[in-house]
Amino acid sequence: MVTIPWHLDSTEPIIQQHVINGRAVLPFASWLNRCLVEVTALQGHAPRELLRVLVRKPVVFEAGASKTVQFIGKPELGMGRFEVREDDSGTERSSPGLPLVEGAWQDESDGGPLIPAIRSGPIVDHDAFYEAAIKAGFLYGPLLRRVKQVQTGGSVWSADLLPLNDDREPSIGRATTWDALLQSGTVMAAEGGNSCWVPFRIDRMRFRGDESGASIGRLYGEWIRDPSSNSGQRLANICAFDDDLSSPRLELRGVHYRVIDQLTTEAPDPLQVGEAPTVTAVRPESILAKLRSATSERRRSLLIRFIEDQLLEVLQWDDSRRDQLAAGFVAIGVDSLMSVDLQYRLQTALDFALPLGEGFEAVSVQELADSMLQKYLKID
Amino acid sequence: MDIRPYEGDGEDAAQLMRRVWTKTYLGEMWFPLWSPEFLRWQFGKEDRQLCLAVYDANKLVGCFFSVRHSLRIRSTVFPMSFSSWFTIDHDYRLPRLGLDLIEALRRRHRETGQALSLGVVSGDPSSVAHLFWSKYSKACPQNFRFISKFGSWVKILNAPVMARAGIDAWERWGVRLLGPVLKRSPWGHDSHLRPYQSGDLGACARLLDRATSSMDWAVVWSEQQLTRQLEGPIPRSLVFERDGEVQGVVNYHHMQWQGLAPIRIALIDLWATAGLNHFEVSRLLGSVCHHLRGEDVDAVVCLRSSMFPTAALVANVFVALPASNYLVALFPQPHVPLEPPKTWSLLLR
Repeated sequence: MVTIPWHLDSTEPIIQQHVINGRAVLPFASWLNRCLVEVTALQGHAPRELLRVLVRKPVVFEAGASKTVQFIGKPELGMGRFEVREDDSGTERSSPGLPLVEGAWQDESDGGPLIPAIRSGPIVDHDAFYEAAIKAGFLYGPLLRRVKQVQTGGSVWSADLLPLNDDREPSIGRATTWDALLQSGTVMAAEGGNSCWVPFRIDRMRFRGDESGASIGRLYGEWIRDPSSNSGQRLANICAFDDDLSSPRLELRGVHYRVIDQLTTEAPDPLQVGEAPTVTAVRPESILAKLRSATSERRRSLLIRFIEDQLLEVLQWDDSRRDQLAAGFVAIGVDSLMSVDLQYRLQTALDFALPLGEGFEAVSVQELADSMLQKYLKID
Repeated sequence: MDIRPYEGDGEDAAQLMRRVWTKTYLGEMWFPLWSPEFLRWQFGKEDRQLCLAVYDANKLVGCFFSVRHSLRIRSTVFPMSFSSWFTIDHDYRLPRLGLDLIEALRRRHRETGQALSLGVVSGDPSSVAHLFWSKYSKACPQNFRFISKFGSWVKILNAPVMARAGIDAWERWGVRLLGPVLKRSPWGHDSHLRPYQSGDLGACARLLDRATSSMDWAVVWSEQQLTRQLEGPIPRSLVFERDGEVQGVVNYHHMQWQGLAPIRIALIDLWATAGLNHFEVSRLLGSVCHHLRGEDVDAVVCLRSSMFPTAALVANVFVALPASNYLVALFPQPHVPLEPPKTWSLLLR
């Protein structure tokens, strides 16, 4: 049995990147990442599959529904967002402020104000949503709400959120759905001071085969290639994609958890997050925006991390080899092809152009970050 | 590592390119096996300003060569170059060496007043060349532009050799099955066809000028450059003379291409005729093929450009290969119009 530790290191980038009003608020994909790390550490190698996921503490809140919640609908491929059905006539359009897909949520009588809040309550943006939820506190029912299948185009694409004591069949879902559903769930993590809850345990989750892979690949592949996208960064740690986004081949790096022996409805111990970072928005920020809002020291570390991320992709290395990057470009085998690839990625993400005739002369990531901060980036 | 004008006699450069290109592309795509003689013909010893090399002490580890020419685009003539032979030794693939070499060549082009350079990049998206230049064009769009794709005409003369060398199964089986047909040519020797002589230069220049005058893009030949193109141990030229008048010129050279096995081809660079009807042009091409068969080449190749007579090529059972390579512009000055030309006569290496 593997359980996610309740206590997290507040200095972890994954925590640092998900702080709202001084509280860590981790969206679902972050937890998948977290599981990945845990199982990799335990097994010594990356897991093959993530099995059933049980949300231990369901999210119920009264303040309003997150925009994320209303996007439970149909993924609009290539647009990097969701589309929802406008009404029963079947008209679909991409627009905020629309009702949920009919039938998306069941067991309304199961308690909790979640359904009415979403259906009739205000729709607020992420910042307002989290803030309101935090102020109001949040309620959660004694058992998990079951989210039945969300259907579009005749195919099931959502996952079930299973009741706590339900260990029937493995849930079948797609990361997109889980992410959308549980973004809202993570608001509970902001409860009380500098503490956060781990909102769910992961037991078993299974991704679909090629069809799902292709969809996820197309949808998230764009984000993954957008270095300014948090979603892309997160999902990159879950799935590996071919360069050709239309390819159905998808390597899933899920997490395989066995059934957890003892489930409880009691709230877990709070996590001490420690020193609260100053980040105040959960909305995916561009790296440039992050750099602009960071202190100079933090700015350098952010940029180094970002360059490392890009370099890992250029080298087609996984994250476990990040430490090797410190050896310098020559030692890790960066050639001109990789160099020009890295240069293009950085230019695009950081919105600058090298003056004609100038190239990166740095020999390491650190040196490159320094020279970019000094010479090329217009941050202040 | 020192980037400076190339100092060798072509031997080391040819060796480097053969070694690197073979390691990179063997079995993946066709590529030329450059010979020292060919390189010496291309850039000689006089003007090496645009022939840059990377040296580790005195060891050649990289090169990027350009050959100066003049190009007429519509009605304006620009000083320019044709670039090729970009090579970095596998053991020296450092983070910026290739980029520094490109940048050095760009500076040389500026310093010598070149308006642009033209080159060829493989259209195979998985090839190293395509990957590199695609990324380079994004990172440095001001330095590099893909202009258009182009194909080739190929005449099979030695089907068994071509069948063995084909990269793809369809090439091998296609040539095996159709070889007897493909190698045929309806015409044999023509007594009007003879080797080029120095005294033909003026007539050939006029033929070329007339043949290319209406094209969108065309090389403009100086007397010296045309002499170099037509005469010498590497380039070979034939003229069609009738009634004491030179009415056609064909300029070609031999070279080796590497598929699964090496083949020997004749690449026709220049073709111009005047006063010949379609039948006579077809017969001229047939007699050229007959002549080349006697020179023991396995195939005859020319670019699919408006310089070459399509009907005559078809009549002589040339096969039109699909557009698989890109014409690219390097270091273009902002004022150079780079709309893809519909008709052109270029020397692409």
